Amino acid sequence: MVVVRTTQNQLENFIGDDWEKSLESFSKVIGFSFDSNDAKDIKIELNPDRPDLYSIGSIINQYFIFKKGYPTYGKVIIQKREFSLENVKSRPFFVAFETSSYADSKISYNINTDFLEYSDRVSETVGKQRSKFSVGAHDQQSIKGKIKYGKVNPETKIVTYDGMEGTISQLISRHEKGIKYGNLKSGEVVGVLDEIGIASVPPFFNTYRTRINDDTNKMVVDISASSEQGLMLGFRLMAGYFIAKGIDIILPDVFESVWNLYKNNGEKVKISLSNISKVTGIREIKLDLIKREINRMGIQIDGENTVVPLNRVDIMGEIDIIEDFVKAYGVGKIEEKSLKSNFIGKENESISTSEKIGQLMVSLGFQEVKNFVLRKVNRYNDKFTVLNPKSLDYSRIRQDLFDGLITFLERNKSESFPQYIYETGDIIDENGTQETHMGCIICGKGSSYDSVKGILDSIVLAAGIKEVIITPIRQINFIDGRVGTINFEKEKLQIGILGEVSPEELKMRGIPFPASYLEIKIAALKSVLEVA
Amino acid sequence: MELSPQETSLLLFIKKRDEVNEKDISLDNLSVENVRGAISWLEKKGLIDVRTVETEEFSLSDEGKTYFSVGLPELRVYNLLKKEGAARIEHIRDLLGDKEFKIAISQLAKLGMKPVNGEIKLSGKDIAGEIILKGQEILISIEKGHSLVSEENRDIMDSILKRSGIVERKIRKSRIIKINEKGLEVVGNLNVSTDSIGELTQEMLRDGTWEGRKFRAYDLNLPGKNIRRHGKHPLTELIDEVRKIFLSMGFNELKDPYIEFAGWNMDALFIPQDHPARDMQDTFFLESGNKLEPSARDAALFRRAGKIHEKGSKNYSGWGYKWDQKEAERILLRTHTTGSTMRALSRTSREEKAVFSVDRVFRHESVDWKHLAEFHQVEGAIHARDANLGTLKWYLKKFYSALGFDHIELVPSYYPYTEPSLDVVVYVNGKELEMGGSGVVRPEVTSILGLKHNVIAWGLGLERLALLYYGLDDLRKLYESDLNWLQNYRIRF
Repeated sequence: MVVVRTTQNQLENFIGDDWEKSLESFSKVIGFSFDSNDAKDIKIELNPDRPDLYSIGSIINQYFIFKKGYPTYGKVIIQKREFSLENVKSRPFFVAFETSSYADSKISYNINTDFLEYSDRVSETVGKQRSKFSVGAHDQQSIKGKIKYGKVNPETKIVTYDGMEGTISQLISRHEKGIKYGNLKSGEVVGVLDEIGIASVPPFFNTYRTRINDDTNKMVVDISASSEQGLMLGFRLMAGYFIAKGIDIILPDVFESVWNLYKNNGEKVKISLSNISKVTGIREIKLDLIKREINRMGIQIDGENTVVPLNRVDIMGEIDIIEDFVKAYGVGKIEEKSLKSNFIGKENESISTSEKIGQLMVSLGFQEVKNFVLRKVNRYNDKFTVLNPKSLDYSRIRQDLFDGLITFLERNKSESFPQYIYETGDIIDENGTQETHMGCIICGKGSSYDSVKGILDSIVLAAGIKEVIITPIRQINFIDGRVGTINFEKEKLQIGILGEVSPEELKMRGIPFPASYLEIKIAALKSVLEVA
Repeated sequence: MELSPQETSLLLFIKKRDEVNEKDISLDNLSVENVRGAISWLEKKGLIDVRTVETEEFSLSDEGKTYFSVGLPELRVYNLLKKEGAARIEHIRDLLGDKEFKIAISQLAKLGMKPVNGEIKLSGKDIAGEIILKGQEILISIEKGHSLVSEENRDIMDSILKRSGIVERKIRKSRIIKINEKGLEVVGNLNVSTDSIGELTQEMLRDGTWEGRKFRAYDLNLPGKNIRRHGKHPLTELIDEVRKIFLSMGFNELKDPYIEFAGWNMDALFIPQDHPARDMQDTFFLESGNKLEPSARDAALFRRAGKIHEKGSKNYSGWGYKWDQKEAERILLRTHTTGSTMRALSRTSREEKAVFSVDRVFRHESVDWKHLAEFHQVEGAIHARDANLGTLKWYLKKFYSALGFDHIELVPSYYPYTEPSLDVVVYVNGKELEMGGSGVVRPEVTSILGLKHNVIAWGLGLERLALLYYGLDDLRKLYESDLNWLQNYRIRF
């Protein structure tokens, strides 16, 4: 979620006194939420698919398009401009454009501050912390002569937009933005220059000389990117910001190919009424209705095609247009309808067997518990290592249910005893196989090997299995001579383990009574049942 | 006034004492439950005065215990600064390791000690040091069993509590009881008759000593013997309920492994390789000593996904980036069950089918009262000729109604693999609550999987539902449970 912040005063100015009601109903069209508890800090939470709305100005603009019923877009004017592009290895993709003047526009919010917030938010999110693309914004009046994009000497002295002075190298290690984006530094430093000097050093700083100021009413915006995809995203979102608000942009002819890429691959999306019907379930849908609704979302129709607004980078095909239609039309108006096909439900066998074992355990007097699959300790080496654990306590995938159950007893040692607990759950064994197991512990006065052997006997009896053999093993956490594996048909198939918990384990955990433990592999038990 | 033997024992125990905490009452013939019951009844009969007190108890997590032994990360940096005056951040990172370095820098920044030009210095006024040392003292105090925190250190304690995974806090309620004048009067008049029979025993029945004697009348409204309930875990009850709904609606149940290739978890669902959900901060990635290779069928499907990511399919543009097969072959703990769902549908790609699962998924979260690193996802999906938004609405309404939500509202939302995407909002006590997501699966996904028809799908988090059903305020209670709660939670009939 991306959060755009505003205030009640601003919203009253932009929308009017009924701003809350208007924003509420618009939020259900676009799909955002807002928190208006604090009039001085109203938070609008947007989904990540609409970066074109990442500023309050853009949200308000979209609101008015929806309210008015159609958009009024600015134009892209391609003009000859003197521009020099050097081949660079770092951030090799580049585009820049100039806006027309917005001094006389009727826009009620401050374009300069709104755009700076927007470009920053978009560069952080869609631009992947400026690694995909970064944006420089300059006061157009301060840019002099021919613009150049190319390598710059890192020992050149500059003054950053916020007044810090130093060589570029020094500033990258000292300035807040230099430290933040220092990981993007490569062998060469690139810059945007005019005839006076450096205007910006992507992706780090803009300079003080060309910074956006209170008098700015025309901007030059540069976008540098590490890939063509990044460049297109950056260009569409930045140029589209102005176009969506009815402000023209002037694109130097040297960048015409960038514009053509959008025109040829993204601007037009064909729609068909039958497809819209197929997705929405609305029968006999009319083109006029589609046109009216998507116009409200800012999408125009040209013959069989829709025209995707420049800044709508989320639209990749017809289905995205259909979604905008549904949003504008209202999902509530779509008629509910059952499927023509009938299906017959079927339980998963493994889950069904686990459920039956669970019922049996409850009937034997056990309480079911649930534990996390992620644990701190395991008995054996792990087949899989969690590369990025959040905490040591949840850093390994359990290989059996013992640790979770004994930890449960430890946590509940102040409760009365005896305690009969069980768990059915999945483990991933040392060979990397995921299995469903049932583990149980009896803890209390007199709990011993024969207590859980009695439980095993009950399960075996209930399942109709004739004989199981217990083969002694040595196992950490259990008393030697009182622990073994449970085998069917002379050790051909091992279906579990049972034993008496060692006093060392109990002492370490402060558990005041003896405990005995049984763990059964449910799939193995099921396969025994099939043989039996 | 009639008293039970338990009440009599308890009254006699407290009559010469001043106030007694119920947890300090120890009587040979009474269990903890007997004492609890007797207190409640004596209070009801007006023989004792009872007040409830709440005490906060703190304990250290394993991470907290580590910091107890070696010191909080910020303390170790502070000690270094006290010794050296200043330190380069690279040096601190080498000293603490990446994880603790981040913690230390973040904590020091909160105390106004930010790196300047890649270096941290000790400031003139050493207020930060005082706070850091007090933080460490609190850890020491908790580990030594002194779980109370003085008011002056409360702010520091609160800031430690906000840091996930160091200190765990529990509130315990207990009753303080005191015999009152009426109680003393009743105790004074206690006259236990030896002639009447209290408990009828096996011996009496055998030797007939009950004959001709009176049975003492019992107070029939006294609490009965404490019989502990045992049964299924509340989450299992809920899972069973959800399973029944799906099965009755004709869905086939799925169960799949927790470990997935990123290709199934992400790429097949058209989630681009630079999507935030694929970051190390959101997903648990795994490593295995023996490299796991996808099957030839899976590898081919991943490559098909890659092509669609890069260049799109039919009239869809795709993401336009350079797809990397190695990324799709990374292994992880699945972040949702949608990969499993789509795999099941793709196995019979021409057939109409409805499938569901209620199973665990994993997210890279710290465990606290409102977050879990693993939880259950409920998911249903239908692949059918006439699957569309209208049929999705029909199923959502039926499904949520069966869960007890008669009125739902659908609002636009965003999921990378569905379009249109809708969130389901329910109303609980007049308040809106976002309960789950839903949508029509994107054509790019059905293309990758070779599915013939539209797919509609919806899902929700089971634990969120459990909070509502069982009135919980802490998600951890479901997994790190108290036996007492498990045996006394209110069953939904």
